[in-house]
Formats: sequence, structure tokens, C-alpha cells
Amino acid sequence: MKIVGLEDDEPFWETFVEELKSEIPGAEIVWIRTEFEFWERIPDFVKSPPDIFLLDVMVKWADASPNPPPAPPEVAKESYYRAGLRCRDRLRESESTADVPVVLFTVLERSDVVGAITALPPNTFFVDKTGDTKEVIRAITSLTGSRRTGQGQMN
Amino acid sequence: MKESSLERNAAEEALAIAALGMECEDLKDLPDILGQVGDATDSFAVLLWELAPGGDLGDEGHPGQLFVLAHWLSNGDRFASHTLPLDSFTGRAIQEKGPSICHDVTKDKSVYQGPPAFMSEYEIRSFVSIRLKFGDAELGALNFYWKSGPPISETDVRFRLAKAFAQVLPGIFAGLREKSSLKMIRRLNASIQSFEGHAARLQLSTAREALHNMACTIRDGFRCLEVSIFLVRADVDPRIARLETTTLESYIRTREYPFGNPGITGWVLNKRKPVRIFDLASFERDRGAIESRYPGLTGFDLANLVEITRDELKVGDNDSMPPFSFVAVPILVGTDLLGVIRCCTPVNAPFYYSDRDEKLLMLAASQIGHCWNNWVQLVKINNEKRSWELLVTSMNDLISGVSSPGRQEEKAILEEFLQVAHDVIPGADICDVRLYRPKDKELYFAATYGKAWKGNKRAEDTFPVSGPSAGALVFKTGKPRLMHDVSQDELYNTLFGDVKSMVIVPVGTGNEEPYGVLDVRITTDLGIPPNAPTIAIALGRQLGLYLHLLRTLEKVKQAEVEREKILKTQTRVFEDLEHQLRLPVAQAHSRLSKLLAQEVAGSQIMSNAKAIGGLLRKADRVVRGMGHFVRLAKGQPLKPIPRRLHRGSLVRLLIEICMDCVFLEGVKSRGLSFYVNDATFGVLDLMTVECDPDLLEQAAYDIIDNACKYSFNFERILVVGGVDGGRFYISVMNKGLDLPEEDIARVTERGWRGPNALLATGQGSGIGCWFADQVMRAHGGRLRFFPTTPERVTEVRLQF
Repeated sequence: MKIVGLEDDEPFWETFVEELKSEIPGAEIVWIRTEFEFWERIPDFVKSPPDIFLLDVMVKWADASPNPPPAPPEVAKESYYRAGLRCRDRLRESESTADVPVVLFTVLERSDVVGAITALPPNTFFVDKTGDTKEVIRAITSLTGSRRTGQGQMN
Repeated sequence: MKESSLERNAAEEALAIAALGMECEDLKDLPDILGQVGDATDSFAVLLWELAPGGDLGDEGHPGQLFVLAHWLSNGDRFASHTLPLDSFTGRAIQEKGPSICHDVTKDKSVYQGPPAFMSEYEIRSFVSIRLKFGDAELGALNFYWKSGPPISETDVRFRLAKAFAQVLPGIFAGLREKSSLKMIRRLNASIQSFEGHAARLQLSTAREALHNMACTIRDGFRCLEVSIFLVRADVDPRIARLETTTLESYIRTREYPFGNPGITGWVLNKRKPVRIFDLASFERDRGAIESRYPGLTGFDLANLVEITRDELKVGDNDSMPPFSFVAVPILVGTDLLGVIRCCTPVNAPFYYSDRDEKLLMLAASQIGHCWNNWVQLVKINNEKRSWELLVTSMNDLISGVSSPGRQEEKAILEEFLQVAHDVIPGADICDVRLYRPKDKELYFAATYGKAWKGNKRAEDTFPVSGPSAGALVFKTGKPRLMHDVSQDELYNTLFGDVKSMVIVPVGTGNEEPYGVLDVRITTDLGIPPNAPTIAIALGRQLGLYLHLLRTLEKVKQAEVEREKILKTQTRVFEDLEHQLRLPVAQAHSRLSKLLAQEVAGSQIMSNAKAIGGLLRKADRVVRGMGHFVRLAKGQPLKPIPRRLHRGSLVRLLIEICMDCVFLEGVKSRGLSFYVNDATFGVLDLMTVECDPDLLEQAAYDIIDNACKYSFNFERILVVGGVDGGRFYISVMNKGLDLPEEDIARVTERGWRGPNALLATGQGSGIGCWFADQVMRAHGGRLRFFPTTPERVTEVRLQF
């Protein structure tokens, strides 16, 4: 199984990956830390789509650098607040990645993203990050084990 | 002397008299001219007579009289008589159209012997009467009287001179009369101009003084005792002419003439036509002629006027009185009647008013009328202007009062508005404001003004807006209602019997439903003043704006109270959270420390425990930071508890912070490293620096955490100590995103984050630098930023 995760919180990711590996031994876990890096690697995903994408909703655009990549207008406007949703929309532009299940997880309250989650396509799910990560992992195993056909939320 | 020489001499003398007459300016000079004539003819007296003119003394009226126009007696006496019967010697001379010589007055029975007994009193022996024709075709005679000398004959040089003089005298008389008239009109115009240029011309006292001057001018020109001017003041009562000035107060019996009033002056007002009566004393005798000329003119009672006149003219009890000649003309401007001017009792010859005099008085009346009319209009415009100025000033004062801290109650403000309405709208004696009560859907009296309201239980009346009242209609439609005559308006609800007219206007801003209505009730008979509706509408609008402002201020006040409550609740919640969280965190930390002390280094448990420790420290810092933030937000300053800063403890603290950042901020994957230069903090061994360790930890963590976020990957973050100007500082330097000079001023603003920083850091509240600055300021220092160098190095100092 191949899992691609977009998360800029290193401590959280380290802890989460430990648990994920213990629950899904042998899983290939790809870690991407910035939205820019995710966009850069979309062609790779298109070529070889993973089994599931785990996307944090609030992720920074890019690391500080002497020549930072210019932010597109929608990134400049919305900043990091909806980075994960933008990445999900990019995935839907390609046939090979459009149907791959996506788990969006965030510390934001449900009401903060109600507009986004009510418009979720069938294979996209919203998970509360501050809850028990075991629930997230159970959802992942369930999704990758048998694909869901309807949209929903998982807590 | 030859005949022709005699004639030539007489002509020359006459021309000389004519030349003298040309030099004179006034009819008052006529006696002097007669004197010259008398001297030339060696006469005792010279009298100039005129036949009674048409009009008053027409054919059907008076049996015929002659009136003296001028007289001269060589002994300086005043000629005591004023009239002469037409059937006298002089009268016959006029009718027979030729000079008549009376050789012996004692023997000619046609000679009038009196009273008064002029002939016998002055022992007149003979006289000559020479017929004249005046310029206006009136007839008269010039009489010369001698006491002694040979009898007069037609060949007598005195007779020739008399005839010559008689030829030029009518012209002289006409000339003098013209000059007198012109002089009077010029003086009148000068009076009017002087008044119109007067600085205080708008004052009634100044106007009356000017009118008095004009009356005196006419008195002098008409040579009479009484000139009285009655005028109508439309702003007081347009149906009454009131005495504005007189030259003889004792003649005044009636000071007001309501239209329709009987009497001579009243007739002039009613008919708008002039009246001229030869002698008021002969009113009954001449009634027929007077009534046919002036239909409807009733009688006149001289009463005590005779005694008054005797005193004024100093006429002896036995002397004859001059006629009470009377002329009155209407004062008209166009077709508008402004009043009447009357003249009575000439004091000098000629003792009557001719047709020409009547026309002259009409001209004078026209001048006075225009002057008065202009003054009334000017006063009206000025009063309106003052009303508007008063309105604006009152509004400014009221609105200032509304917004001032000690503003009055709403009812008091409403009453002030009503006071303004009363002050600026003439006749607005009963006013009120009715406001809408939504609960009951009715209008009620919110404020009242006027004596009629005192103790009046009608103030408790209410008016349903669905009901048939004028106020309800104005409220629903938002349109003013003018009731010029309330008794004719079906919607008028009688509250006060004195009200004659009324204006009702909406009270509102014009943009939404009105708040109520403003009632202006007028008690005078003058109707609604022209500017009253506009003023009332302006007042209603201002009142509406005031009420809107007042209610909005109340809402804002309430919102502020609510906000304060919410803020208080929020800060209380934060404080509760802080308390609830700190204790468990502190306890967890404590237990963790014990565990770390027991565990083996390098073990998995040790690794996880250290991670937990870092998380707990972050949680503790966040909680403490929240507490400080809440206190600062409430306006409470930070209160450091200073302790001496030691080198060792400070360096350990800074290293601990750096290690937490390594763990917490994901710097491992980015290849960041830290270096705390222990040696640079050696200055603390040499100087005493005091600070609150908890606050310093918070501030240092915020700055070092920022350095992590903004550093380029694989760079080192440097932490050093130093002294600048005798003051200790902790410096954090990193190579990373630029901090331009122009952003330095904003970095310590609460919540501010630069756009580039936002994209490179992700989550964050933007209060780190702000809080660190507050901490340093609480220690008497500040947070200092240095613009990024060309090498991309940025330094931030915690300057004590």
C-alpha cells in the first residue's frame, strides 16, 4: 500500500507515521511538507497513483528560501488556510488521481469548513485531527480495503 | 405828467414788482410783495381776494364768497377777516369785470362794513378793487385801501399803478405757489431719502420719526395746524388704519379707523377717494353740496376744536376764526390701500385748499405710501431672515446639547424645539410634539408648549393612527397639512378654542417611517405666515434627526454594554482555562521529570518522555502566554517580578528553548541548527541585570521560534548576549526571509504578519513579536529589529 501524506507539522507526522506503520506494516508512506512540493509531484502521482492521500487542510506554501516559488493568485488570496483543499482539487483534474480516496484532516472546527465539506465528492472524507489518530488509521484501512461509494465524514 | 409817461412808469413799477416776485421763494413772501405794491401806491392796506373755487363751493352750495389770499397793512396789523360776501363791492367788481373805484366808503352802501369792521376800525376812506384772473382761471380781486389823500380817480397815478400791479400779481401768485409746492415736495423727498439711508431704519421708532418729519414738511407746505397720517400695518391687523403721527395731538379724537368706520377720515378709507371741505364749521350749512359730492359722508362735530384752534392761532375771542378747511387723501400704492393723510385748519392765507392743493397732497401721499410700503417689506424680509437665523442658531445649540455628555432628557429637548417654533413663527402660541407608540399604534403628546397647555387634561389624549385625525394622516402619508382655517377643516380635532389656523408636519428623517408629528397652532387672525410651513418642516426634520441620533446612541450604548459583558465573560473563560490547564500541565511535567530521572538514557521510553516534556513545555508556554495576553487585552500592564539574571541559568534556558524548537518546529527535516554562544553571556558576571524569568522565557521563545520559521533550510540560528550603551541584550540572528526597513515598524503590531512570512510559516497568530516587545517594555527596554543585511541575516534583540 502506498500512502501520500501532506503535513507540515513534523512532530505530529512522526507520531502519526509510527502508529500507521504499526497498523499497516509494509506500507509505503510518502511525506510531503509543503503545498508547493505537492503540486510539483502531482505528475508523479498521476503516473503512479497511491492508494490514498492524507491531506492536512492548513499547510504552508513553501519553506523559507532565498528564491521562494511565487504563489499563484488563489494561494496569495487564501494563504495557507485551504491548502489541502486546493491540492485535492488538483488531484481531481486527472483521471488517474481523481478517484483515489482523499482524507482531509485538520484542527479546524467543522463549522469553519462547512462550505468545503458539504461539497465533497464521493471519495473525499473529513477527519478531525485532534481526535484519536487510531480512528484515522481505521478509516484509512477501511478505505483502502474496500472503496466507499458515498461522501461522508469520519470521526 | 403825460398819459403815456404815466403808463410807462406804472409798467416799469409793475415789472420791478414782478422781478421782485421772481426772487421770492414762498407764498409766505406774498405779503411783502403786497407791501412793496402798497408803498408804491401809497396805500394803507392791500388785500388779494379770490372767488370761492369750484368743488366745495360750487354753484349749488355756498351762496358765494371771496377769500383772502394775502394781505398787507402798513401798520403791521394782521387782517382779522377771512371772507367777503360775493355781493360786496369787491364781489361786484369781479362780476362786472372791471376795476371799481369806491370814492367814499361811508357813502357806498355796497361796501361791506363787517364784521369785522375793517373799514371803520382803520378809517378807510376810499379803495379800489381790480378784477383778476388767476392762472387756473379762478377769479379774484386786488384791493387797495387809502385812509387819506384826495379821492382816487382813474387818472390818478395811484390807480394806474394799481392796475399795473394787478396785471402781474396773478403770475407772481402762481409762481410763488409753484415754488412752494416744489419746495414742499423736495423737502419731502429729502426726508424719505434720509430715512431710507438711516442705519436704524428697520426700527419702528425710526420709521415713526421719519413719518413725523414728513408730516411737518406737509404742514409747513400747506400752512396748516394739523397734518395726521394713519397707516395700515398688515402684520398687526390689515383692516385698521392706526395713527402713526400727527402735528397736533390735541386735534386727535380717534387713533384707529377700522375699515367701515363712519366719519370723514373713515369715508376716505372706505371709498379710497379724497375729501376736501371748505369749512368744517359750516358742515351743516353746506351739507347738501357736501353730500352730493361725497355720498354717504356723515356729519362732523367740531366740539372743542374751536377753542383749541383759537389757542393755537392766538385768535382773540372777538376775532373771526379762519375756516376749518379740511383735505384728506388716501395713501395708495397701486391698488393697495395703505392709509390716509389729512390736513386741517390753514394758519395763513390762503385759508382754503384748492383743487391743486388736493392733487399736491395726493402726490405727497403717493411718495409717503411707497416709502412706507418699502419699509414694511424690508421689515418683513428682515424678520423672516432673523427667524431663519434664529432657527439655525437654535438648531445648532440644540444639536450641540444632544451630543454633549450632560445632555438633557428627551422631553426637555422636545420642549426646546417647541420654544424655537414659537419664537420663529409669528402667532405660534400653542405647539406640541406627538410621538408614535408602536405598541398601541397611536400618537401621544410627548411635549407641549403654550399657556393653553398648562393643567390641560387633553395632554393625555391619544390618537390612533388608523383614526380620522389630521395628525394620523400626516403620520401615515409623511406629508404636511396646512389648515388655514381650522373651523373649515373636517379633520381638525378641536382642542383649543383660540386656534385659528394650524400646521402639522411629520417628525422624521424623511428616509423611514416618521417618529411622530409636530403641531403648530396659530392663534392670530393673520393666518399661516408665509414662511411658517417651511420653518415647521425644517423643525420636524431636525427633530426627527435628533430622535434618530438619540435612539442610535442608545443602541450603541447598549451594544457597548453587551460587548463589555461578552469581553468580561471571554476573559473570565480564558482565565479559567489558564487555571484549569496550568495545574495538570505542571503536574504532568513534574511526574515526567521523575520518570526521566529513573529511566535509562537512550531508551525508547526516554526518547518519548523527552518529546512529551517538550510538548508539555510548549503547552505551558501557550497557557501562560494566553494569560498574559488576556491581561494585556483588559488593559492591565505586565507586572514583572524581577530577579537577578545569572549567566548559567540564562544559557540553560536558551538552550532548552532551542531544543524545544528542534523538536517542536520540525527543524530536523529542514536541517536547521542552533548555537547559543555561552561566552557572550559572561557580561552577566560583571553587571546586574534583573528581569522576570517567566516573562523572559516567553519572549525569548517567541523570538527564537520566529527565527526557526523564517530561516532558510540548513542554516544555523545564533543566540548571543551583549551590551549596547551600557544595556544588556540577548540577540537572535538567522539567515532567512528578508525583514525590510519599512516593515520593522509594523512587526510589533499585534496580529500583523508580513505576506511572505505568511506563505512560509503556515499557522501562527502574529502576536509573538508584539508580546515580546510588551515584555521588554515592562522591563524598561524594548524589542529591537535590524533590517536584513545583504547577506540575508536578520537580527532581533531583546534589549533590556
